[in-house]
Amino acid sequence: MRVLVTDDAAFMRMQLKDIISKLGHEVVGEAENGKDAIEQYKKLMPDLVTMDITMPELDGINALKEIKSFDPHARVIMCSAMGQQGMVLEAIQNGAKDFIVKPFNQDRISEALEKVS
Amino acid sequence: MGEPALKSSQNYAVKESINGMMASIKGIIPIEISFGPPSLIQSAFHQRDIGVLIGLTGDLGGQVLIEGDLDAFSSVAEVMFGMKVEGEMLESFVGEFGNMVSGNMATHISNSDIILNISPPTVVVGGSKFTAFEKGIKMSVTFNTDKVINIIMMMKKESE
Repeated sequence: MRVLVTDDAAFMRMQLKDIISKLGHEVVGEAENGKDAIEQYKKLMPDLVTMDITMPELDGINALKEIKSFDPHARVIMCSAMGQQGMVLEAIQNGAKDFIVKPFNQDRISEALEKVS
Repeated sequence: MGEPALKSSQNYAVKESINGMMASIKGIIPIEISFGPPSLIQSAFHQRDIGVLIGLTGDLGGQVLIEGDLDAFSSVAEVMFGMKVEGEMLESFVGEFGNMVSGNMATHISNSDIILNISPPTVVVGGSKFTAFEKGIKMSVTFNTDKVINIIMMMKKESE
């Protein structure tokens, strides 16, 4: 799959890129906030987006809504330190395919990617 | 009647936040750690090498500061991700560590019906003095025998 990674922390983008590449997928873009993710989604049309929630400029929930309204078939996995039930529900109700709570490991990322592929 | 009730609910939120913070740290740092007793800070706090500030909104208003020396944070990154991190990537890790600790704390205390939201992290590099809070609660976390990071919960005035 062609994957767009979204996280405001360069360290986290590096970790995700490393794991996703090891799992045999291609990271085609990196976005550092929700606004950037929407722009890159429209340009790259990736098969999958990983989306942090707490980010400057535009948070991940609003970016998810924008991407789904642009492309209802978009596949987005949330990847956030905020794992409250309300937050997870809101993400799923807005079309997220999975919700990964940080910190994560390779197995959890692998499980999420298999689920959407 | 209103003010004691406010203080009481804020005290409950503070107590649950401290418990949530300890549970969060234990869940995130995958080695044996020990906590010093929480202590009250009512004057300026001086940060060492680097720290991360996270804003709290919701049932408890204020900020969380997580600070330590570069070596301590580098050790945390190594035990969590199995790699040594330095320079700008270490600064980015410190921000993300603050995000993970505060986010997991907010998740833990949501089980006690306390709703908190967190801001994106602000990384503060270099020794700094923090004064813009009425009172703070400091917790020290020790690991690998001599590595220490401090977590300071800085609360807004109770009347605000």
